[in-house]
Amino acid sequence: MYKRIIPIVLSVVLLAPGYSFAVHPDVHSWSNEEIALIRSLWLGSLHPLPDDPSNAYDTDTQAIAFGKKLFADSRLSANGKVSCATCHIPDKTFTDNLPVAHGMDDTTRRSMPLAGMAYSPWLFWDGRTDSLWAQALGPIESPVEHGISRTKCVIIISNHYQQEYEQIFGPIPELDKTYKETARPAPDNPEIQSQWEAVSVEDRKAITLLYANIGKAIAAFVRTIVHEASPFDEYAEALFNGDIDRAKTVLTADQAFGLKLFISKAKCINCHNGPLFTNNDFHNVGVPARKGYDPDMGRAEGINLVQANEFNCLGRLSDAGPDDCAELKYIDTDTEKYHGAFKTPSLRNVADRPPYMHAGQLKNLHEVLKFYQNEARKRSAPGNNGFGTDIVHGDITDEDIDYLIAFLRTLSGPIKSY
Amino acid sequence: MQLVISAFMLFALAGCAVQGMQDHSHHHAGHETHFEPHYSESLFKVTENKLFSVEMLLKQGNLTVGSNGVDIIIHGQGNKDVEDATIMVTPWMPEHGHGVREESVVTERGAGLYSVDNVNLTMAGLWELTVVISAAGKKDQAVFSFPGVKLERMAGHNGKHASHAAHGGHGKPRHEINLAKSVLSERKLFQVSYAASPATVPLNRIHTWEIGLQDKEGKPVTGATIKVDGDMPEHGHGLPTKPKVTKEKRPGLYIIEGMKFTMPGWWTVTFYLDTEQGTDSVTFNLDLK
Ligand code: HEC
Ligand code: HEC
Repeated sequence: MYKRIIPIVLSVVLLAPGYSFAVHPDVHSWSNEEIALIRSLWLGSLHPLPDDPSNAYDTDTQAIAFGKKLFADSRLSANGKVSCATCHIPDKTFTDNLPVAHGMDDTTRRSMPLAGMAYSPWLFWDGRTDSLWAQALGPIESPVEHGISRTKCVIIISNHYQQEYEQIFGPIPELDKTYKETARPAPDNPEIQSQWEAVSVEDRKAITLLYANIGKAIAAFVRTIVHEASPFDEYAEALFNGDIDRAKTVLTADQAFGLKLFISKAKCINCHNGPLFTNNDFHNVGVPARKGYDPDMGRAEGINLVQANEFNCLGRLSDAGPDDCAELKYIDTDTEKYHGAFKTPSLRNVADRPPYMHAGQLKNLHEVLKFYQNEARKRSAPGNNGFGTDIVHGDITDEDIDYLIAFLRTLSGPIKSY
Repeated sequence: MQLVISAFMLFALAGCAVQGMQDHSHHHAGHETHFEPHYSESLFKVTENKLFSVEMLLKQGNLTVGSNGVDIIIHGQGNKDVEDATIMVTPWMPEHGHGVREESVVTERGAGLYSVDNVNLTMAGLWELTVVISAAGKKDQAVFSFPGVKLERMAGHNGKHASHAAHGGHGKPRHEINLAKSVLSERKLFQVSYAASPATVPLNRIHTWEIGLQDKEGKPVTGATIKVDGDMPEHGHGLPTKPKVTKEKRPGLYIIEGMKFTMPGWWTVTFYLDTEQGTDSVTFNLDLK
């Protein structure tokens, strides 16, 4: 043992990296490898908008138009004031700039931006739904968000949207007048649950079908919310065309150097990768719970919730075929691995939408980068870090922080929707 | 840096001191076996209650981040080979208070030799391997400690060395990693190949692989049970999905669904093969962009 230990210890010392990162004399010249990485981030590399196999209506133009109306309709709430657009404001990159969202009451997490979400296999910070339509049905029945029930949805749709609905989905069920408007499945609320059980089995099915259909219409609209080119994309295009002079007019040297850091030393590209700057996967980067809030298990809970979700890809109301739903079929069920892990947010338009992280814990980009700097330093200190944080990048200096922020600002472009 | 060096040295010395005390505490009990190592290169330990001796040989010469193999030779009372033992090897990071998810795979080779594969170390630093031995109704354990587990590791299984700077940037040419899509399995029982669909392994998209399995004569190996595992040796975490073999499309051609990679860089994908011709494993390297 004695003989073995010494050479191993010495080799650790010799291998310890120095992290020297000299500023390149010309930040606008890139190696082929770097160009390949820049191409992987370029919006032009995004594959065509996927068609969700679990939603037969998601490319139907009538459904898209209907979904757009529902998205902004505050009649779909207990106080008549809350719609999807309350928390996902179209002019604010479909989010609300609040640390934690507020509907009927305060929620425990921050509203998420919506652009490009049709590309994500999992929705919500913990990925507890696996399609945009299953996702849309969450807030409507959540007491702190829209605060209504699926039974109430039947009433609202037949009062205000009968024709539109029936043209797409067929007849609206006639409901027995004795049913309570608040009836919905609510295992945690015995009173509401018993109201739901008072509904006949057949009507429960018909109500839930209508509910799923309005989810599918809303999802058809949300799917159309996409990013358009940002200065970064213009820069990338200029590089691909070999037009360095043009490239220099699009990004400053500081911004280009920030890009270099992003794809190399700072390793942001490990998770914020692909044309949407997200792998749509779950990581614990070590953000502490919001002050005064319980610790959030994140994906560790989402794994069980999505498998139990009645509207998931393998469920009765899904339109998917037997060969679909690969993500759900091969889901990683290792809850320990995903303890405190949250979905990697897209960084497109990120500078426009503070505050940051799943409960708005960090006020601005500077705080975010300071956080990453500290997390990495904690990690490289000997014996001084716990299990869980996935941050592995090299040391980020205070100057690097400024460059990285300068680069993140080049990711803002227009957001388009139907 | 100075601080780091002394911290590691301290650990090294502390480790030796503890070890020394254990080894010299023999005189307490009267009629114990005096165990001796049988292999010159092995790491040698007597178990805590002095029921067995354990010799450990590191298949790759040292332990590194990622999947490792070790051979373990067990002797019992009277320095006799211990056969039919149940062996468990558990990695643990004492400084971080965590272990690993994957279980090691133990195969008995006879004459007291046990081959342990998939000893999966998830990050660089101080690791302990606890070897628990149960044989003939007796149970005992020994702890081996490895202070400087590094990120470096052998390439493929061709014995070529992949020298990886721990924090080397992405997209470095990785000439030394064997990226072959068809390789010989670890114990050289099978020729294994893979084909991804789409052919270029995509980032962030769930997709399918086909695994071709042939024996030494080039004949398809049918009816194999195949388990899949993926890892990023430089980061120490696995695949974001649990891929499964869903069917044997043709004799010796297996469909694996649910493959997915969500980070660019160096990945390894290991298949554990259980066939009528024996068990084996094979590891492919991928450089994802
Ligand atoms: C009270 C504010 C609020 C309302 C109303 C609301 N949302 Fe959200 N939205 C949020 C919050 C908060 C999250 C993250 C919640 C979580 O992870 O638990 C979220 C997440 C999402 C996501 C997931 C995005 C991603 O990246 O995974 C989508 C899509 C979405 N909302 C669409 C909608 C739609 C459609 C509606 C209307 C049916 C709606 N939201 C109503 C606050 C709201
Ligand atoms: C291990 C994966 C990973 C790496 C590496 C990583 N991030 Fe993140 N990033 C995340 C996750 C996950 C979140 C959300 C965490 C949360 O809310 O708890 C996040 C959040 C953010 C946010 C806030 C976005 C928002 O909408 O709240 C910014 C900005 C950000 N990261 C930038 C960076 C930069 C710059 C780097 C490189 C220094 C980087 N990230 C490296 C995974 C990663």
